[in-house]
Amino acid sequence: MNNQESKEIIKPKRVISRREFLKFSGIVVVSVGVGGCIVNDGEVEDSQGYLLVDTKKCQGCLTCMLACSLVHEGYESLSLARIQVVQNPFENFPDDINIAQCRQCVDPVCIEACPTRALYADEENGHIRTVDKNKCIGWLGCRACVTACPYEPGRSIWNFQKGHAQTCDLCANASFWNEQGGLEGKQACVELCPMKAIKFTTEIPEQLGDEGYNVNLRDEVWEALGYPAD
Amino acid sequence: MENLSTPSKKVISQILQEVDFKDRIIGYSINFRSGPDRISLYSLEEVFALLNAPYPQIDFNQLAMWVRDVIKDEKLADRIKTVIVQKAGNRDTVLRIRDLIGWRLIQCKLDV
Amino acid sequence: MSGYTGKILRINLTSRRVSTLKTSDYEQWGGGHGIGSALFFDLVKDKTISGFDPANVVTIMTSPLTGTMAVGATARTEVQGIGVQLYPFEWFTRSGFGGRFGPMLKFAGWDGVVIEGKAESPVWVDIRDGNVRIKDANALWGLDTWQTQETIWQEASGGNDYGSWIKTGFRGEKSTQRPAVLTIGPAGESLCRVASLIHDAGNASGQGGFGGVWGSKNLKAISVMGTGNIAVADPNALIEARLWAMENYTFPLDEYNSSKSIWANMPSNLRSFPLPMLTWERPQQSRPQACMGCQAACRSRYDPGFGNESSCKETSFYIAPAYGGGQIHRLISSLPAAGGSGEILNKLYASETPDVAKQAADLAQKYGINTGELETGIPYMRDLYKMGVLGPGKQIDCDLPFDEYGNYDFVEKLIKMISSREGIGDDLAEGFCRAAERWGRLEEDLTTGLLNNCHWGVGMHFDPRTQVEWGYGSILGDRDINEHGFCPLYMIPTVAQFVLPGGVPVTAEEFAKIFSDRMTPFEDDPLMLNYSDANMYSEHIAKLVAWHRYYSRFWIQSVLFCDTQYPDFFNWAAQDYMGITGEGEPKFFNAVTGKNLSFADGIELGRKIWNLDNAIWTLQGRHRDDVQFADYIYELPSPKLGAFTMPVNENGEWEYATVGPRSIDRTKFEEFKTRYYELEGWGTETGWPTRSTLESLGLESVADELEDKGKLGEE
Repeated sequence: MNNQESKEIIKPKRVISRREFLKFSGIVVVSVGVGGCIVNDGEVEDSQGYLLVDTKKCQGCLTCMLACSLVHEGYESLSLARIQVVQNPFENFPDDINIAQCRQCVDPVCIEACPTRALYADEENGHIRTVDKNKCIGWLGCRACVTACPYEPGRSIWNFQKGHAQTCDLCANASFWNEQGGLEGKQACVELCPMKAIKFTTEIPEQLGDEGYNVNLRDEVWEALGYPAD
Repeated sequence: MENLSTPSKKVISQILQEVDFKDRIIGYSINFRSGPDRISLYSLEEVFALLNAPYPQIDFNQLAMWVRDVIKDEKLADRIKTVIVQKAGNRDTVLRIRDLIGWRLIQCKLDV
Repeated sequence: MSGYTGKILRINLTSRRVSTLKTSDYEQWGGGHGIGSALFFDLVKDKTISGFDPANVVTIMTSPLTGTMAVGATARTEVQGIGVQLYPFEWFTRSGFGGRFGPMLKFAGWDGVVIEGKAESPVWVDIRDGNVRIKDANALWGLDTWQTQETIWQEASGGNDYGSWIKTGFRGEKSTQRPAVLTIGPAGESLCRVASLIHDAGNASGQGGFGGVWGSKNLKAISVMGTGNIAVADPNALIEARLWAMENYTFPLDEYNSSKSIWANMPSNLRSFPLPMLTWERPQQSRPQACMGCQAACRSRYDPGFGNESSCKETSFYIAPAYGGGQIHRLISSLPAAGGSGEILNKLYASETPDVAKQAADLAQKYGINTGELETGIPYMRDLYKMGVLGPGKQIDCDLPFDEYGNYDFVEKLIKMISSREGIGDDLAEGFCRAAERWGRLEEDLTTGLLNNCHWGVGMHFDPRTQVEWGYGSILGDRDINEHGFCPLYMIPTVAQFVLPGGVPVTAEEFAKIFSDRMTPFEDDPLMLNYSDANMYSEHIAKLVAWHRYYSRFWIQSVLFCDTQYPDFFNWAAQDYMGITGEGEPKFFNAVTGKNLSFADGIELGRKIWNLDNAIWTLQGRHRDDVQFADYIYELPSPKLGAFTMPVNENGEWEYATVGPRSIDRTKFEEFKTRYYELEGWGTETGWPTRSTLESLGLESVADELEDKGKLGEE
């Protein structure tokens, strides 16, 4: 199941722009261990959208990953999918599958860690936590959000092909799909999951632990199919 | 299993025996993706197992004769014949004969 | 190039040279089987060699749709080469498997892998995107297939647990996924002719004996980690196609009820519900588990995990105890005077574990043995034992515990003996036909049918005497076809009698037309689907067989649509039962590749591939005289029991009728072959392709090679 090892949460002091950073830093590699780095000290508004999953209902087909990468990148990719399904074929049910979706955390340490506010809560899209890739300095070596995410595997995905971070944006900017995404629209993984094991909700899930995000989406039909309803 | 009395020890040993090659009875189990599986059945228990398959196929009259002449359980054979003449349809006939045989096996295997 | 990665990995195990082939040189063949056959033709100069010869080339090919969301085409991979299982000829053959290996290969940037030569000592191939290394496998040799994969996964993760991002390269590439591994088990290492290739827990390339071929090359495993991309020409069109397929050709999940369950597993049509294809009872504590991209799983994972990912024959080859325990329990608990059902169950089956069938499946997967061979072989051995000719100290000396038949001990010992070639296992490792030959029983047992292996040494799947397209397709090819496209024609009328009030919802004539209407270029001939006695050897049936070859060679085995779901002719969820085939396949193909291939184009490409395959078999030494079933198919009628109800047209009237008992008439079969060869444009004296046919397909070079060897079919 989800590994919730928490990592040291870095609280940077003030926000600087990408330009200032490039001008003054003089260093190529930025790590959260380097002191005097950057800050975001405001409260972040809660996201108005969340993804819930049911790992007992998942059939491990990875269609969500194929869908996510296709609508965001325009091609299929497992490594760039913003939802990850990890499975062990030899393990007993239900421990054989783990689903790692972005939690749109109420207290987003990834946003707090980001030195340039590239990762931010998008006011125009219900405060969905998302990345403005034009502001991301990951290509210079910053992976602050990637490291800051307290969940395993980290939900802020390092796009090693394009050199920027990316996170689940609830398909607000899924440009390769003619459907509208975001809060008013559809999420590709939700639409395409054949088992309906992913659900979109506007209610804030319980933040502590997994029960808020890994829920029971099974019903009497699932039981009629011969699978466990609890 | 109304009215079938507990068999004698001798009959029990016949019912539970494995027969020889020449005395086997052939059944089939239809499998959706692999067609009819031909199965050599060497005991009443194996017949019972086949009749629990989703789509078993066996010649019921031949089965009754086999139970009488090879297994030598006349009473069970008679009961099977009774079911056959009811002409209940393939599926129901299978289930009734299966239950008959199942009960007979329970009688044989338990200390009742 | 959309869909394709553009590169095929070429590995020479003798020289340890790793190189690249350009997919564009073979793109005209579509993918999968087409490319594999073309590569084999080019790379294997002497096609008469044994499958164990280092010069045998094994191809593992994906299609442009692999790794994309094309329904039913995401996950299959095609393995080809000279197989060692088939009897009496080691035909150039094929065997597919699912899971996630093919997609991972694509994500790594490879459309396929070509294996040549033989390594001096055991090796495995470690593919991480473009970085390919041939590594020493001495530590893996001897491990079962599951241990092998877990060991490789450990190495790939640097000893860390999975569940984090793992670096796979030096440019920041990373993945959360375990490497996709294809491996042999101990059976392959012993050069068993019935050894398979295994991937994850239950995906198997079973037929053909490719496990033994790899063993002969000292190749233990191929592992691939892919962090790259698969280009899709029109992402939106692909998604729309998927949603269109789901909406129009499948039932929504929440419309499931038990009346639909039987049809959910009926071959062949688009799957609606995640109901695994199992023979054993499926425990509730389980999940459906699907190949990558599939919309409705055909297998499961369990708690406990016995039987994970096994399906079909893997679940039925050792079924004896599978019914007894669970069913008796239900019987007992439903009877009012039963008393304590648990106590009764314990008394009845104290020594029996209900998981035997699952454990047997796991053994076959771990040791890497083809369960198709065991399915007819195990009952054969038991019959011989009961006859008194096989057993300890008997004419066929066999140290297997037949008093434990049906229990775990028996199947465990059997599988271990085959894998290690110990005792009688050395005979069985050759396949049951060769074993019977060693025992001096082959002719007799193929005349009586005691050994139920009816074509090319492979066990009967559907009966050639009744399901004619299955039998003819198999014997005119290289193996049991395992292509279920026309199964609905016999399964639905047969089962409908049991479960549907009123039977099949369409008349036999309508049923035939639902199929024939899509069978371009023969769509004007619904008599192709007439299974009557009088029609068995006709040109109508010749067209049925031909169409089936073409469709399967291209759309199933080259583009890699899963045989479980395609062709989708008759579909319960579709309007007027008209399935997706004809429209669906090209829709997905073109959305991914950006091409404009029609369904008919694909059928014609399938014909081209089929001709190339026949050319290869011809060069291997085939002649029409070799194309013969086992004797019992001619000598004995098909059984009345287990007979199917099928569409039949006699005297101009269509109806559903039970077909058989009947056998194949030798003389009429010879006439049928002639008719078939004429239809294909092959020499009727030999069955060899003619120059004019090959040239009409753009295969001049193939005609040249045949001519060079004196093997061109007479015009």
